[in-house]
Amino acid sequence: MPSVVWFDGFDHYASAGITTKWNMLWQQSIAPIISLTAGRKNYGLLLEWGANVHKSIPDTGTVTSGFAFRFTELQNKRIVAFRDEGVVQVYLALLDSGRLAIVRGDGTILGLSSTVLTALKFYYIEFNATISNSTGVIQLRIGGASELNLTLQDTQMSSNARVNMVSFGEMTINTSGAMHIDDVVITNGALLGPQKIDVIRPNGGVPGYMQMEVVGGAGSHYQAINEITPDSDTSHLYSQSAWRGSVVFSEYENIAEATGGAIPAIAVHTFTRKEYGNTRGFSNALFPGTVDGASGSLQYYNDPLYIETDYAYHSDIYETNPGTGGTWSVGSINALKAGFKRYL
Amino acid sequence: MSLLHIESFEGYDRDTVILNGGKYENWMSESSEDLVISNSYGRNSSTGLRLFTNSYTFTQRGSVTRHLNGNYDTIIVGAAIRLDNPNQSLEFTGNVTSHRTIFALADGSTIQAALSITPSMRLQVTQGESGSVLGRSTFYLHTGIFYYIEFKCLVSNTAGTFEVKVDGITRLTGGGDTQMSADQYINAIRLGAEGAFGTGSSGRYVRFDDVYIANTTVSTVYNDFIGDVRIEGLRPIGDRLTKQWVPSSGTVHFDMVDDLTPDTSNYITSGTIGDIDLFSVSSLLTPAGSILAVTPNMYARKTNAGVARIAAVVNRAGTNAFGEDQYLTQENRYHYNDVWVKNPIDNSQWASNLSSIYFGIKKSG
Repeated sequence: MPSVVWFDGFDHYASAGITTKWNMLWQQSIAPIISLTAGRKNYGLLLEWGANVHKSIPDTGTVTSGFAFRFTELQNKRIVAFRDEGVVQVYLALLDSGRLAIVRGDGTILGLSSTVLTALKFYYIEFNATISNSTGVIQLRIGGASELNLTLQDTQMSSNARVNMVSFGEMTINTSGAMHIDDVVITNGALLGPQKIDVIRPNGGVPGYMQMEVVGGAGSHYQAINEITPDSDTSHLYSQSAWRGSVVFSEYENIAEATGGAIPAIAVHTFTRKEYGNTRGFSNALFPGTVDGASGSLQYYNDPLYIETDYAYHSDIYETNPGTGGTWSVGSINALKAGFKRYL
Repeated sequence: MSLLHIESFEGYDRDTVILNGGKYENWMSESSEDLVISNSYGRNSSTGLRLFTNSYTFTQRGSVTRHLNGNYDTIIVGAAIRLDNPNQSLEFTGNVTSHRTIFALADGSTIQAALSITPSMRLQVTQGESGSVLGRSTFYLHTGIFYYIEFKCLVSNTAGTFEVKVDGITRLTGGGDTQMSADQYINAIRLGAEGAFGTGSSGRYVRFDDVYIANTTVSTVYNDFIGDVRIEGLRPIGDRLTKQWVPSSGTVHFDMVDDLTPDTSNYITSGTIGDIDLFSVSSLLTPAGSILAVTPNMYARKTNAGVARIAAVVNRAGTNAFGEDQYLTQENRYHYNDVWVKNPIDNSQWASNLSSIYFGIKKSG
């Protein structure tokens, strides 16, 4: 299983599309919102207290959630919970003292941060837990610096020493205050340090690899799929029933702000649906450029993903450049072409 | 037959299901709390069923059950299913910790095996509805998206098997004890969770559309997974020359029986055995693709004591074929036991757009 399980910078979809990427949301009176107010640089996730979002992940005994966090009012609030199905194993909370607390699902506080957080300021928090009745481990970092490192803990509330859902937001009914979440990275254990997530979009076609139909008035293949937020059937690419095997690659924007440091992963998100009937699947695909030793002549097609009649994101995460087998560089991402191939 | 039932929820409403013990012939609600049939809840703006459903531990929920006309050791049920996001905190009521039943396969009132969705949105098969977990998928769903989910299950105390497909791909298989009653068969399919109405204030809406139920025996067609299908409701749009029944007003017949939901204020009647009315019907919205089956629906009642029967009619080029006789009661009910996987006139595949084919009703007894 890859180390990076999932990440999200909230910069390529609107509030109505949250569950096309996250698995579900709950709300009291105000739904989770994708908002410029909540982002560090661009958009972020605005959670009024009582609103929450949930991401299902593969079963794992150890999980880390890294994220940029800001709050508007000091209150005792849950920030992020690690669940085995519906059972909260352990969670991270903000206390009205401004400290962060690691809390087992039954309410037992396992540890407190020494750092006192203040409102209206972003902190990059990394919360790591290994689930066990007796040998659980907790790590907490703020801005990359260690706050807590607990061992031999009871971090398990369910009958299984596992986590399969990461839930952001307070679950109880409250009427004031909000939290801002951005640059979320979930791993199966690794603490990657503070991260920033950039979105790049198609900005050019790749001759020979524009094998689907442009529908909806877009001027070219890449223009049919380069929206800031998805416009569904308004402009799109269409693969007719007999066009199995059709491929589209696009050139992509350069990373706007290359801040240096390691790039743990990139993700390709394809927003797609099928028509009624039959089974339809596609593969996300990468076409690395001649950077970092890649040949620049080979395409790499991932495992098939199967699609539904409603639009949804179908994503793949690449921790290494398939053209080199090594880690990603800014240059290799800027030279990358990406796309998809109709599989079924 | 191998294809036992198809259902798009078009042509009737909630009251049709729940009043007077259910006016469907075989499609009844035993827990009708917050059960809605509406064109807001189907796929692509078509009509669908929305149930307020939750786990067997939660007391407020809706369900509908299709009672089958036979006992089958293996059943395949498919439906487009979408979970909505709740608008209240689930944690307060505790029901987030429970799974949500989607399909329950029953022998009478005993659930043999069930397919549910777990809190982390995985698919899970249990013995009975709350018994041993027989399998849990690694694949997980998202709310707000229709998935076409198919569940095939062989009932057995010792050699039960199951398979779950989502949009055509196998996501869960397994085996074990899939039998809870003394009988090794299934004779009812329930959508949603059953239970008495309670005081719960929160839960999860689940939408259903395009349902099929099949078994593996008798026929060699449609006796396994069928895959993602669309089911359309077509209504009469014109009279044919054969119109021997009597409209309750005026001279136009189809206008009496083309209601979006049942309207008993206008109708056609007949007191003469052998009378036939034929109608042209609306066009398919999705004419592409093969037509796997046609089910005629007739909403009818008799007016007095004695036996009264009707039969569905299909007509092509002047030739009629008839469905099974349906025995009427004095209460209006839907009658649609015929599932024609071939055109009964000549046992041929249905024409791709049902062109030049007409449907109607016969007073058969």
